[in-house]
Amino acid sequence: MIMQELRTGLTGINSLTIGLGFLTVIGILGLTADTATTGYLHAMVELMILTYSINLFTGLSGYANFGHVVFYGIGAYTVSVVAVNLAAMGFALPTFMYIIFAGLFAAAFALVVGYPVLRLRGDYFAIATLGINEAVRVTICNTPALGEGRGIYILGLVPTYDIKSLYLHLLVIAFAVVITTYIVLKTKLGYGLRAIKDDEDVAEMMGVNTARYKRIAYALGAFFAGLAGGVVTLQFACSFPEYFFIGRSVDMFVAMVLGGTGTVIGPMIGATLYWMVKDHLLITFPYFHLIIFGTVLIILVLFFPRGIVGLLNKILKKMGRVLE
Amino acid sequence: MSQENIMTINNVTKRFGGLRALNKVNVEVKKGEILGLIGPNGSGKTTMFNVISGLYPVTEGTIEFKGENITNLSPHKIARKGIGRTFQIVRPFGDMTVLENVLVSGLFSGKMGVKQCREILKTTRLIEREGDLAEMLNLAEKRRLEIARALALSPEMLLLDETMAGLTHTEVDESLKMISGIRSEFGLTIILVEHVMRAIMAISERIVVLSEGHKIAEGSPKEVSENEQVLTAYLGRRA
Repeated sequence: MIMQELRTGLTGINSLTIGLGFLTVIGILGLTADTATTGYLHAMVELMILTYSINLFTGLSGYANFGHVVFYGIGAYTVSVVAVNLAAMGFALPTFMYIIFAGLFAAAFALVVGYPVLRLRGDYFAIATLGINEAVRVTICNTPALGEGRGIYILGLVPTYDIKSLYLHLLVIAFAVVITTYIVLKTKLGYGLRAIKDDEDVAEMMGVNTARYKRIAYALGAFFAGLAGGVVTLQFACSFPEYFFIGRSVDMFVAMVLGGTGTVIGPMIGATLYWMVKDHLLITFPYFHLIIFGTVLIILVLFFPRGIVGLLNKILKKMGRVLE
Repeated sequence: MSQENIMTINNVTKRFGGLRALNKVNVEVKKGEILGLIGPNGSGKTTMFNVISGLYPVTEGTIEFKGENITNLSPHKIARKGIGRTFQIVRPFGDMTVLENVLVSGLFSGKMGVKQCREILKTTRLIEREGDLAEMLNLAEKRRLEIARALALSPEMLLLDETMAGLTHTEVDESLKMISGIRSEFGLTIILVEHVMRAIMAISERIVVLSEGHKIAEGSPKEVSENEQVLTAYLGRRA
């Protein structure tokens, strides 16, 4: 059931429309521009999807997850393992099937680990998520069947691709994750998760099956991160242990906070700005771009704890409007 | 009022390590009554609520609600069976609007939609503030919001934990009126923990007194206020 708007007295601006509109614009731009621009936007949309995927879980439930990248990595490895095994049997699937496998396997993994891990709260949970990521990475690095530290190469085992067609796949995922976020926020699941974020014990005593809702959100976030991971393997025709790099977890986390946690449009704004500013700083100040970037982020979080969406809403409220 | 029991608390013990917060407590709650639960600080009143609502598992004993054993069920199941509660230190969902706060329990008990939730807000005199964030409310309003939220579970029993603490004289009177009002409107059984003696003596039909985890007295407000053991627990032994 999708709830009608509940705020009164303010004209709502539908952030879903804005979000999908913006995606369409960068979609067309990326599909028609030169390869360099497409590559640039490709990386940006990938970060956007990851930011949305962590937002679905961490942004809504308040459970800090610093190891979200594990689902991206697992998605990436799923594609190469599936591709290698299918090729050995002499056939290949359409590209999108590999990507869906990646999402599903990441979600299944989340459901299994979620059982024990989601019993932890706060700092303990955050540390455990780091542990999961490391455990999976180290396991892969020591398993000959998974290519150890070298990775698994799938060049020639999957249908050939070009960057534009992969970009199109990525766009479809981006559309899906934005719409999913919107629906989640407007339905029971969203209300349950927001209640958990505010006060888990009270949520439980108000009838929310907290354990179940946390697991659903955890798996949903993992699903989309897995899809993004699936695309990256197809892009480089390889999956590396490097895909579990913790820095990517930080990227999506910061982009989420920057844009506005738990909102429909926040991850999009956050990821776009984060990507553009970081890239620009890297080119302009190759040696100390991270120092400048870090300072900017600290200032932003200090003054706008609710991110850019929070700031926007403050301004809009004065005009009698609100982002829905 | 019928004399049928809605809840039977049977020999319930709750231990925290070596501390017995509740020690073999037996209480029978009759359908439709307002039962006052009093006792000095640390006597186990809030622990009792936490045990009934499933937040703490009981160490020993059983709790029956409407003839069904609800001991150690998870809190959300107990809530959906029709036991709503408020908290001593108010705990509204601060990041949600007033209406959304109420809607959470309405949605998750599966019993109420937006329309019914608005009705509850009217009863609890919060309808004007439905669009405000819960953290913006004052204490009296937050306490009413907690009651509204519990009512959206469409409960048969309501556990009110010090809903009058820190309120002014007038607010206490309004609160008393509202509690008797919602009892008849929703056909509720209410257990009330309260330190405001004036309030609890006025509204309770029966009172149970806890001291150091033991039940030391039970009876009408008058009986209890004259009970020697109760006076000792509150004021100490006569010299």
